[in-house]
Amino acid sequence: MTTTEPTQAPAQRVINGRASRIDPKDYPDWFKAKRRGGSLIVHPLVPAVMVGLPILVIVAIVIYPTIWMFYHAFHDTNMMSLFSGDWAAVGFDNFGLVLSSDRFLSSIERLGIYLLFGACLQVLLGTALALLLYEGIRNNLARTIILILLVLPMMLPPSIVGVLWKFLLQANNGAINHLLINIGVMEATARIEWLDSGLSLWSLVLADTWQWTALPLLIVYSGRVSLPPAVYEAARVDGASSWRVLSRITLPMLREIIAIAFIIRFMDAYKFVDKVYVMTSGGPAESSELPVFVAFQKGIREFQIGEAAAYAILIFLFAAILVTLFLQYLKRVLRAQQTQ
Amino acid sequence: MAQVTLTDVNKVYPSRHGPVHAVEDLNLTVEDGEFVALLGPSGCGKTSTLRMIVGLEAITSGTVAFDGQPMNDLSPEQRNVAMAFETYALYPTFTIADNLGFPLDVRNVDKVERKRRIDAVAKMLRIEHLLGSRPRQLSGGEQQRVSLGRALIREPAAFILDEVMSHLDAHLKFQMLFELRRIHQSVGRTTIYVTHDQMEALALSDRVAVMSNARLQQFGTRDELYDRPANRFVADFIGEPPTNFLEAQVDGADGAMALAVDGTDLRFQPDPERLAAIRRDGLKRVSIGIRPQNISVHPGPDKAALTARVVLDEFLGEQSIVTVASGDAQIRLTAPPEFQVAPGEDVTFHYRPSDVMVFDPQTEVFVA
Repeated sequence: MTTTEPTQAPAQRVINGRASRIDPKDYPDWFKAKRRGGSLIVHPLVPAVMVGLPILVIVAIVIYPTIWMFYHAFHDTNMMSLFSGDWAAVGFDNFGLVLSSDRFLSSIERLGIYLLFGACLQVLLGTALALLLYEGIRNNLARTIILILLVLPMMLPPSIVGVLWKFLLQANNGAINHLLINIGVMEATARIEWLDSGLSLWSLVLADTWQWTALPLLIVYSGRVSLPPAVYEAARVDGASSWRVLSRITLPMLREIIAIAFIIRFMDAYKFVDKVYVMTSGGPAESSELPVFVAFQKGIREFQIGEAAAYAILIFLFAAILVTLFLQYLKRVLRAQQTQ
Repeated sequence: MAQVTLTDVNKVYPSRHGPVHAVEDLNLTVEDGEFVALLGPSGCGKTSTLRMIVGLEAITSGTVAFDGQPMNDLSPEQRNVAMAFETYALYPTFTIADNLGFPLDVRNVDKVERKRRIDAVAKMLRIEHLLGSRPRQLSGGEQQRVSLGRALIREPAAFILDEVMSHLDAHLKFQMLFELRRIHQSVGRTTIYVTHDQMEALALSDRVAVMSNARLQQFGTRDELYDRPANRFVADFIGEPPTNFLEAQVDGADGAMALAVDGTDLRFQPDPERLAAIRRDGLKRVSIGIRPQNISVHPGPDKAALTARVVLDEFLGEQSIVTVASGDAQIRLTAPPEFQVAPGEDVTFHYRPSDVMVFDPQTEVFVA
């Protein structure tokens, strides 16, 4: 009588349903030591590929262009010389050119205005709205609905918001001017030239504030929600007025949260270019240009590669300094929270 | 200083699963200067009661009055109560001195006077060295004392203390119990203290209000709670180790009436007064409650004796808790630590007939 032995297939490791092509005993030692049952790493080359590919991508799109930019910041590269390949080293001339140009300096001034009346105002307004919403509206459903409505503008693409506001702010047929006329603030024949050189920057600030006030609002609101209710009950029992509770308890407890909202808004505002591009294209007559937009114009529009690179480096340095300061502040806050 | 009166107080919380009755028909009078504990297991309504007294929670129906004045519609500030919270609720951004001084600051007490009173309270609570620190730098016990201090610095109608010792370790708790008692004696203000720990309640209070299932079960002194518990719940909740409960049949004629425990041949002999009550109520079956502390291995002149087999001998240091069984019935009794007994041995134990508590098995109400 013959017993039918099941034919034993040659030893084949099956991991996660797939056969490994390498005999397990040929795996390198480090891989054997790392491997656990059911591990996703099915092949010793997988880690190298998974780490290597992103590194390649980063080198290709970040590191190489950055080095390229630093190189050309010190050369008189423009469209012609770029194609003929005969750029010459000019030392710091590009930086001198940038720092002495009125265009750059006034764009810095505009950035200051934008940060102060845009980013700062958004944080203040967001904080006020968040606290008002939390303290003033007791009904949970109403609160959620209002919160969603306030956050909606943030969900739109910034360029679309730019287009939208460009329409709203048209001098002749824009809805804003119509509204002002209809509620009697303005005479029917009067027009406010929102996108003219006098107001264009402020119109940008207005559109941006409409869109981004919800971000600090959300941050501060969630911070307020997480404050311990017992502290507020203690304040009620102690007899503190709402003003005193706000100024001495709520705001001090929210200080770090508000600072973080400010940092986030500030970093966003710094690279503010989308609405400028869509609404005014920096104009009229460069009246609403911000530094990043100027750099973009120099490089992509005018093809002054060397000068644009110098712009970019200056902006990068400025941003790096600010971010370092912010990170220092955050580190201090975190350390204070740990030791307290 | 005030007498605090609660009349027919109810609290109903709306919830997704229908209204929740957190406090039902509560009547309670805390005399001026008295130290009263609200004692009960979690969720019994004691914290809701307290919050209604303070004014942090609206009263669904009934009246909370201080010295006869209804307080229902007044804010916590107007009621002038001081409260210490379970979670301490210190102001995290303030220094300890500012935390203590905040109630005075709110009342526009001038700086010099404020400083004087902060120092006095800090001295009383032994936290002078912490005045410059911030709450998060303090240990739980220290924060606890600051929170008490913030209540004590005022001259309120009543002090309300909510589970203030639940986060303290045993050693510190013992120390704080003593301090609280000392402070109450020196200040002499009406104090209402909420706790789920019967040891704290009994150690601190003049009277204890025991709550369970949204209702006040009993309000009395520690001896009343101990010797004449209103019902089985109170008898069970007060006392450590917990009271033994045995179901028994009333047996025998008038002269030799005894309580025969189900499933065993143990027969308890209560004193004549309790027997009279059983006869008066015409009970055929009763629940017997007897505290482990009231059963001893030492005979005495007025004691009755019973014998049962030892199941377990737990040595707790200053005393042993011996569990004995006879038939289906298990009884825990206390013995001196030198009392040595092995499981399986028979032991004779003794009790005073006057310590046998009798409850109605249906209503669980104390009969005698």
